[in-house]
Amino acid sequence: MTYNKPIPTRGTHTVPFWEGAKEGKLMLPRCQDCNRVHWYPRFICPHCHSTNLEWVEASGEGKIHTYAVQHLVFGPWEPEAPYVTAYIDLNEGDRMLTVLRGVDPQKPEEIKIGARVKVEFEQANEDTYIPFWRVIEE
Amino acid sequence: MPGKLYKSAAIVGAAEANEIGFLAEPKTSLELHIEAIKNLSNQTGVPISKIEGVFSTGWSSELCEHLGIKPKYIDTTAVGGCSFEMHVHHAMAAIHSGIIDIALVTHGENGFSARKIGGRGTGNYGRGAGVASPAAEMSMAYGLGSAPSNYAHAMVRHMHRYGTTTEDYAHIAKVTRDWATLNPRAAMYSKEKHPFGGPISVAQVEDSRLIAWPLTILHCCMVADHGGAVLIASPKVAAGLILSQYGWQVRVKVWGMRTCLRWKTSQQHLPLDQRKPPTRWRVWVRGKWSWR
Repeated sequence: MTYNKPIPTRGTHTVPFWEGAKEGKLMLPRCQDCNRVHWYPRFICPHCHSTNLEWVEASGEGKIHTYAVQHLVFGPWEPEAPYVTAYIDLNEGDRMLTVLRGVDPQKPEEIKIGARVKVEFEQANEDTYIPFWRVIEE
Repeated sequence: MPGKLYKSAAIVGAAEANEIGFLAEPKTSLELHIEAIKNLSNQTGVPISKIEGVFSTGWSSELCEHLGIKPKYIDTTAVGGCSFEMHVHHAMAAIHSGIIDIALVTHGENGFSARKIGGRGTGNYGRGAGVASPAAEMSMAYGLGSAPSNYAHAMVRHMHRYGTTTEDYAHIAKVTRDWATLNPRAAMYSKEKHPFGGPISVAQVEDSRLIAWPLTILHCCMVADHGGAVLIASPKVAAGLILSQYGWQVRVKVWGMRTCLRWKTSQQHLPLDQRKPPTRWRVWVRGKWSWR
């Protein structure tokens, strides 16, 4: 089935992220001066304002920071509603928005903040693989 | 810079568009702005041509052109719904620094009318994502858009961290509606005015249709039509305005904001022609305040 959700267009400085995603790797920008990663990718480190940034391969694991269940949705995601969106605390630091998989949107109370999650990529077009996160069974 | 910041300016007038809420005849955002500004000018007696600073989200330059104002100060700060409170702060700073004496803060949004005629003053998320905005590039894939779809995440985190409940949040919606039932101009003033109007209960909020769990439709603010404008002036102008309504000469050189507001609030329930000027004046003489 062809991917029918919104597909991001690449930024000028995010090529390593999308190239990594093609190979199933989660690439994060890291500051060479303060060693911290940040998300989303910026032109400057938001922690120390250094511009010495590099891309590193991340573990692809994290924990749920918070979540919500989207019931009223317009556009391509409408047929999927209700579905769960979440912010993930990455093991390397900072936080990423995603659509959470492996959870029941009808039982939001059963989703646990702090639950462990792992990234997976879905092919959207020839060049774009989009990261989603799935709850890991403990 | 003379004096303290909190004494540096006064809100001398506040007015709304002619009609607010769900308008039967659609209006544009600009029209709602202009109605509120015209009403404000009538209320305060300040001609629109005397406005020196214009503060509005994104609209300021178009408004100046529309009104034929050549502003000495312009501000287009747009940070969401709280922008207009910030505009008041920015207007105060501009007056405090001596650049202007009279500032207009104005808002107009045809959220409801836009469904019929378009022209809502908000942008669309995610077009040409990556080059325009890396934040949009990394979030557009996941289908969020409306304010509730984003805010639900913050609410869940708050509940986790502080132990708040959906019921606590429902109280906010309930008391906000209680306020609406005190204002005949409010869209949800009563059942007679709107089928879903009148008071609501916490249980009703919790049981209404889900928008983005845990937010239900009654948690969310309505998308309606509204225009509002506020006039902010330096103490010199503020004192002159209030006195000039009674044909008095200006005898108070500096009028602190609190004095002005205290007088206004004590008589604001009266129609304009029945208000009496204060019998005592607080005046600035030889470096200190005294009553006359």
